[in-house]
Amino acid sequence: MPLTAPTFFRSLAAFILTALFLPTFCFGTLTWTTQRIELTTKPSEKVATGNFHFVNSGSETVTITSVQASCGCTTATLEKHRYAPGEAGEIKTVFTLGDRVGEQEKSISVVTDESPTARTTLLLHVTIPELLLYAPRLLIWNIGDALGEKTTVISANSNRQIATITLTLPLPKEVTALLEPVEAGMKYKLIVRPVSTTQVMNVSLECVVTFADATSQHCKIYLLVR
Amino acid sequence: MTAAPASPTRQILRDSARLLFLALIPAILAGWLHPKHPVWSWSKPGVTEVNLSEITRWSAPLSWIDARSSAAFQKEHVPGAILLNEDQWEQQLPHFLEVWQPNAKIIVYCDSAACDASQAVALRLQRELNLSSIYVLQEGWASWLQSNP
Repeated sequence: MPLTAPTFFRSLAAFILTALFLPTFCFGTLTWTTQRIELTTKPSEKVATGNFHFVNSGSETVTITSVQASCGCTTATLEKHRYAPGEAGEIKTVFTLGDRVGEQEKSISVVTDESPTARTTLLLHVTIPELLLYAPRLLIWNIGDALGEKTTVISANSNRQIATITLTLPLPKEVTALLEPVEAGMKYKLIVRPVSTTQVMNVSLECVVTFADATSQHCKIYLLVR
Repeated sequence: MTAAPASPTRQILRDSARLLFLALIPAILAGWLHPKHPVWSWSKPGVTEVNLSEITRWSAPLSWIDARSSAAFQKEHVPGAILLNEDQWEQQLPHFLEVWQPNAKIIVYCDSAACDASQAVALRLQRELNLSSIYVLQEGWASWLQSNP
């Protein structure tokens, strides 16, 4: 029988639909509202929490056998492990921020008894705004170098305005330092000169930055002679 | 006039291309529409990973950084390693800088291939402190244990 165009397209459509939905019946039946949560933290927050909601959309009870986070900094908890058909549940994730900054992505692997070898991956994407940027945060002189000055630039991030920036006194006796505005309210340069480079030095300069919204942030620049 | 029949090789190639094309359509649709489609996450550019046999060939001094949790570090760690993780970055960084030597190669490790803490710490050392010669140990602590049971 010759393969006519309508027959070909009907066969193709049947093939695509079968290939697309066959796995639905082969794998687990938990249906997730979302498998990716995006959060942005506030400066005072210590943790970021996200709840992944699901429903057992199959006809059999599903047992969640394993829930594992990619990082020790993230916990993922379930109220219970067995879910009857039609029953809803959630996985609560808590990400402890620690001293992390910037874009963070933590994954949670979920395994059910319906498909022990197939994992569902949930993603918690957290943006932790970095309030201050340093360029760079470490200044290094070599032993025997001339007593030249080095500069680092401290700038506000996330459209925040710096109201004041002050060096914490007393300064370490091994260096002299000067803070100058580059762009008032946004960017400042810290000019540092060691008193000596004849021996190893390991000190830091600290400063306090107060933003226009009255919040403040400590800053720390490391200075080494090696 | 009739067209010359295609050679068997060309016919096989044409049929293979058709089959591949047919397989690609449901694959793309499944990846896009299927209720259990994978979550796409584009990996960020990372720090170069090295394995233990490569490291043993290096002649430069090594500076090991343990990016695992404090509890895991206290239990056991690579001899001479410094604890530096993002849980307590500000508290632990001064100690690392105290012992850091500019000519040393820095190798960061975490638990295994599944963890991302070593990449995060290595990238932060590059970005924040402008340090170079930083590497991540492939398979992390698990590979160290395998080579040093």
